[in-house]
Amino acid sequence: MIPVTTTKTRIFIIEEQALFGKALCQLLAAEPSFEVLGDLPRVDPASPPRVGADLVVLDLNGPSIDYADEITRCKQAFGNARICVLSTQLRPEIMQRCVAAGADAYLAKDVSPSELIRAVKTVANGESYVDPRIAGSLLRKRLLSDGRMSSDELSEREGEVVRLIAQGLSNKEIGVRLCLSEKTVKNHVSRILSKLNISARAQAVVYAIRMGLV
Amino acid sequence: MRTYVVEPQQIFVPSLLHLLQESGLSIVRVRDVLDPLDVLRTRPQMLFCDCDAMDDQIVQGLQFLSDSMPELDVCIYSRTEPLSPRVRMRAPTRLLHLEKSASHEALVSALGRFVVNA
Repeated sequence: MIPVTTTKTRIFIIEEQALFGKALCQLLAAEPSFEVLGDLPRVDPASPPRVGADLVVLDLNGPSIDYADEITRCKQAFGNARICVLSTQLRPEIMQRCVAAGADAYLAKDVSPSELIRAVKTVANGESYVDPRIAGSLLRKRLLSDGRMSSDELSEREGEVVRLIAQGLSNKEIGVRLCLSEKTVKNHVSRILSKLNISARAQAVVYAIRMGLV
Repeated sequence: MRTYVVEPQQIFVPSLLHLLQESGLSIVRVRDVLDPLDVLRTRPQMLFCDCDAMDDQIVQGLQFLSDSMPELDVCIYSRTEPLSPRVRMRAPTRLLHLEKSASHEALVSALGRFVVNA
C-alpha cells in the first residue's frame, strides 16, 4: 500500500494586537491543512524566528508606517515565505503599494473567518488574493478612467453590482443584497457587460486581472 | 454589568467575548458597527467599542450617546492616544481606554477594576 502524505501549510503570524494574534492562531490552527508555527507582535530581521514558514500573515496598520518597508523586512526575515497582509486600511492605493512590495494577498481586517481561510489557501497554492471590496473599488476607478468608459460610465448602482459580481455572488444573491428583483439585476448585468464590451460576467473578473487588480 | 459590544472584526469576536465574560461583564448585544439608536434601545450599562479607526461617524455616535445616556460607561479599545476620545466627546461619561497591544491578563485586570469601581 502506498502511504498517503499530506503537506500542511506552515503559517507564522505577525500581529501587534496580542489578543487578535491569538484569535488568528486559533482560527487557522483549526483548519486541518494548516499548521500554525507561532506568532510575534513584530518582525525583527536581525533575529528572525527560525521556523521555516511557508506563509506569513502580516498585520499592517497605522497611518505612519511604511508598508513597503515592513513587507521588505518580513521577506528578509522569512525568506521565500508568501505574505498575506491583513490591514484595517481599505484604500486601494495602500493595497497596490503592498502588492508592489511583494505581498501575495491583501485583506481587510474585518474579513470573515471563512474568507480568511479561503485567501490563505489561495495564496498557499501559489496564487494571489485581494479583498473583493478593495478590488471592486479599484476596478470602478480604473473603469471610470479608461477611455472606453468615458462616454458611457457605470452608474453608482452598476458599480455596486460589479463589486458584488467580483465577490462571486449570483444574480439572485445580488438581488437580495441590494433589495432588487433578480430580473432587475439581470438588466444591470447586461448593461455592465455592454459598457465593458464583454459578453460574460466571468470576463469582468478577467478584465480586473488584466487591469492588474489581482 | 450589562455590556453592549461593537466589534467589526468577526475573527476576533469569540476571543473578545471570552475575555469580557472573564472580566465579569454580561454581554447583551454584539454588533459590527456602532448604531447609537440600537444602543439607546438596548439600554446597556457599558458600551465596549473597538474603534481602531476613530472616524467621525464613531465620534459622533459616542457623543450622541454621551448626551442621551450620560450614565453609560464607555470602554474604548484602540491604538489611539488614551484621552482623545474623552476630549472629543466633551462628556462626563466614565471612560476606560484599553490599548490593543495589552496582553489578555492586563485587559482582564483593567476591565475588572473598572467594573468594581462602577
